[in-house]
Amino acid sequence: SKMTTLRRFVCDDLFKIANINLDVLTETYNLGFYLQYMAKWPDYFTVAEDPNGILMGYIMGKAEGEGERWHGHVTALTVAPEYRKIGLAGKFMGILEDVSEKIYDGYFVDLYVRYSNVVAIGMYKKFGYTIYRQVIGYYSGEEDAYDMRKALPRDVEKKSVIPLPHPVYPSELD
Amino acid sequence: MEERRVQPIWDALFQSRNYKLALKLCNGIVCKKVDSFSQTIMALKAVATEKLGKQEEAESILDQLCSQSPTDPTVLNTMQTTYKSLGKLDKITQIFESASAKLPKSEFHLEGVWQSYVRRGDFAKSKEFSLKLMKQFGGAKYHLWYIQSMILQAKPGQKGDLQLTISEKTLDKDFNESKIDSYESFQLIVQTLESQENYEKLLDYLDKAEKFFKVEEERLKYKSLLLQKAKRFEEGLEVFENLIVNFNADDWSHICGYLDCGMNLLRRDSNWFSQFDERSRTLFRKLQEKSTDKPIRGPFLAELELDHLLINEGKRELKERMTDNLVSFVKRFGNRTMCSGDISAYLKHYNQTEEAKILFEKISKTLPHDLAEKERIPRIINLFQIQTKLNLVHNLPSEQLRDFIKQLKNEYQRSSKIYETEKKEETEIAVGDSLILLACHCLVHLSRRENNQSYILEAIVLLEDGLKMSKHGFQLKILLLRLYLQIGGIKPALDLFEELQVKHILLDSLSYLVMDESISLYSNFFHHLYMEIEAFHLENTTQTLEYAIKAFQNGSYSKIREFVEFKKRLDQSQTLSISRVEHLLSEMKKNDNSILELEGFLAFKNPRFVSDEDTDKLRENEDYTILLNWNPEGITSPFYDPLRKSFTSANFLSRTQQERRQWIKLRSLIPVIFLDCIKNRADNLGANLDQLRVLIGQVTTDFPQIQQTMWQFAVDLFRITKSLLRVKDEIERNEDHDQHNRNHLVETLENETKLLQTIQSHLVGNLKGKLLNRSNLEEIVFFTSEPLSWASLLFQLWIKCVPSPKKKKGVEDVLQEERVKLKNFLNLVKSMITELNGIISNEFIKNVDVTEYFSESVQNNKITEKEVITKINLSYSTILLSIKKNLDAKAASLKLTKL
Repeated sequence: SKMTTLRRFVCDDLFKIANINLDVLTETYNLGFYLQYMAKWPDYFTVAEDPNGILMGYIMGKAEGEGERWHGHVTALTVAPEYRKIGLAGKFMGILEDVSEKIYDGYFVDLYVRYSNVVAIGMYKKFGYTIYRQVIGYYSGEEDAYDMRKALPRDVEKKSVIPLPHPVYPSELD
Repeated sequence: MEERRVQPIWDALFQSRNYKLALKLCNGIVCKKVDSFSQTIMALKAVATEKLGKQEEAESILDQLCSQSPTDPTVLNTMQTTYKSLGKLDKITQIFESASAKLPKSEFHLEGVWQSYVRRGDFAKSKEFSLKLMKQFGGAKYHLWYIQSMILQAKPGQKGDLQLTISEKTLDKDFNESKIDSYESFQLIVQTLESQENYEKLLDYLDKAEKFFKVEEERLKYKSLLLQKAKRFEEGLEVFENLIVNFNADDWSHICGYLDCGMNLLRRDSNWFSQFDERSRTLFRKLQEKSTDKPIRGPFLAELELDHLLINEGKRELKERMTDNLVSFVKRFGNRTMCSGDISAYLKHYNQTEEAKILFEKISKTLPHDLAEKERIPRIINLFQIQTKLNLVHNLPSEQLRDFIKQLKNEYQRSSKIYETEKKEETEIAVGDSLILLACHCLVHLSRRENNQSYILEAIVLLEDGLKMSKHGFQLKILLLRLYLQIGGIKPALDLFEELQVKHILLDSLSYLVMDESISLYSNFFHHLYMEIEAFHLENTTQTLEYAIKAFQNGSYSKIREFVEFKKRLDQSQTLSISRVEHLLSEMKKNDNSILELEGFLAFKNPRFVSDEDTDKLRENEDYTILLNWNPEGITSPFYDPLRKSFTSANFLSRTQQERRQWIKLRSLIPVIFLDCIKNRADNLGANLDQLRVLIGQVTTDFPQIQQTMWQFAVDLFRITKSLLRVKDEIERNEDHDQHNRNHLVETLENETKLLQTIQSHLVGNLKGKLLNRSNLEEIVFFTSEPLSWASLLFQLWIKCVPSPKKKKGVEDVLQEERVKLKNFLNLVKSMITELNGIISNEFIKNVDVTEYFSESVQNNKITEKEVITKINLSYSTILLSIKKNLDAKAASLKLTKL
């Protein structure tokens, strides 16, 4: 395990994700889930690889929303246990923000995080994300989520990140 | 009105998934005429029928509907869904073609035809239909689909392919007319020119296509790669340098590209050495100085990589400098977990024990005194790993190696203490886990070196203890799983595999962890696993090219070929092939009490020999990198490291790829031969038996003698069957005796009886000596569940070939000799079953105790050790119980077999 190379995720990487996905907090989805992201948003799916070809982590995202709600969304961000705490997550987020800004011309980037995941919330705050709203029972009705956002330059007045005063229900999400 | 009647069916099908209700609702609607309503109901009925598992019926409903040539989009889409589930992709083409013929002006229907061809991977047809779409409905996208289909038709890497030449010309024109207007459409040019290795032209294009790259680093990255491929190393060097200096000094691909260009220039002109050495070293040092407050590893490792490459080119004098750089790298980055991994490739330059020792001594001194525990632990771990990688551990005398292991254990204990003050998240992996792993690898090594299984038990206990701290430590689980398997603790191993939650794509890359075929005794577990593998592959067959269609529609041209290749790679999966072959064999075991049942089963399954042509295409999708270790070069272990040479019979990882393929062929042949025997296909049987003999010869060369004997016994069973079938034909056709065949039969029977005696005394000896261990267990499982079971099945065929003699005075029984030999053999089989069963019942099942197996080290004074022993004992008992069950069934079936 050495240095990092960041590049687009390709299908063949799916044969090498075990080192990342065997981690208990990372879900392995069906094939269609990954292929759909690659087919629709190929530039939003980035992987980090070490020179021995071992995968260190990946981020997948998409662009969505209407009008001023057009934005980049982080679907999954995961780093294999042995490559944590070396700033990889920050690099991934930087790339996703870059893609959202330069390729998709979005107004902001958003992500959902478990209410209880204090470590992750702290990390996203460090990357400039703020809590936009709380979503009640977002995780199978069992746990709330924070919808965290970071405005991109296109949102000049930073309107997209003004926090909502009240929590919302998943049915109220757009 | 109609919608009101259709909606409840939709709801039943797709909301509540109550297929019976849906079917009932469909049947309740009487349609008097043929229209889109009646067709919708029929299509929905087919969906419900298919979901209820009645595939043939569903297909027949659809085929009936097909004859009405429906054109309604909802009807067609619904039909398409079910045809897809049935795997009848050609029928989808058919329905859309006939609809399109009826409605030639409809874009929807013509695109449906096009889609149906992409789904089938038929790109000649997808080209034809994108052209039709383009001519009829215009639109730039159809034109690009046409070109993409053309590129997909070309065979990769074939210069001068006509399809590529045409697409190149078309794309040149398109580019000039600004029809190529995005990064993704530009990928068509990339594919066309890369396939023809025309990097020069691609570089020209790249300058003109700047606007398509919204991220400058991406464009430069691609440019530098092309320059490298075009062997324009001077320019490549410049671009890579630009990337390192101005974009990312920590991206390894930039650094490798830079150095690769430099080394290539050096190979062209050796005088360039000092210039390049100075230029690159100055560059890296500058970057090192720049990153002082929060140092990045890139520039430091870059310098080491430079040393490494130059030493490989013969500049041995640089080794001293490399030593200094290694020492200072560890000093600077030794507090990071990946430090030893970073430098491991460079340590192989120190293959002489003395120089390795000197280097390690210097590196050891980098460990500062009075470090806080949290800082010290990663440094200590790195030191242990480096020491191991330098091959300063494995060759130690046993006592010293044991001391080393003790040290690792102590450090692990010490590292665990940090969680007394700092709470560890349950999902977090403990910092000291790699110490346990390393200790276990050393124990495994000791165990092999001294041929002492007690070290394995020690490793297992260590890992079990480790898992109490790192509940989700998957690295610990994987090694533990492999170790349990190796000592016959199959149940705990399979439990661990389940804990890993291997699903979807991971089934293809990780199932090998438990696929050692000798354990297929756990038929329920494996049945489930094989079904999951099959389901995953069905998803590939039915879904992957759907996403290729989506990529076409979305204009993601960079992904289409990738999806097509990916589907192929999965179709040719080695895991799938093994799974199918073993699944069939294990299903066969469920039908092995009656030859009639087996005949029905095999006729339904229609087994096929996996030929050379098939195995040549097999793809090894297994992910072996998951088996983490720090072994120095030349030291391997079948437990956690894929060996590439023959080692033992049972271990999947110890086989070479070639051996694995031979094994697949061998296993696939058995059901085929059974069917040949049952159907009395003499010619096939002869040829397949020859094939079987050759394969067994190849596969079992390094097997222990007794296993070779068992396979020989299996082959002879089929040879006897072949001779007996010949006898049967003679009698039925009133032909003359084939004396040669008769002699051969008698001889083989005599020999077979001898083989069985040898096997019997071996197995009984093992059991009576109570030396139950993995390999003994494996032998008895294999023999009783396969060759012995096959024998009891084939008996049922044999007695049909040797009819009872007509008891008439003066009529000689022409088959007397054969009958006697057969009887002897049958009696021996019966007595063997009784004997084995007796020993297992009386001596084992209730009180299996493997303690003796681990002799010296078992102290039974540690809770975990007791737990482990109990687990293994339980696992053995379960296996013995199922052997007994199998033997009971065989005994019962043989009671009915009389000659």
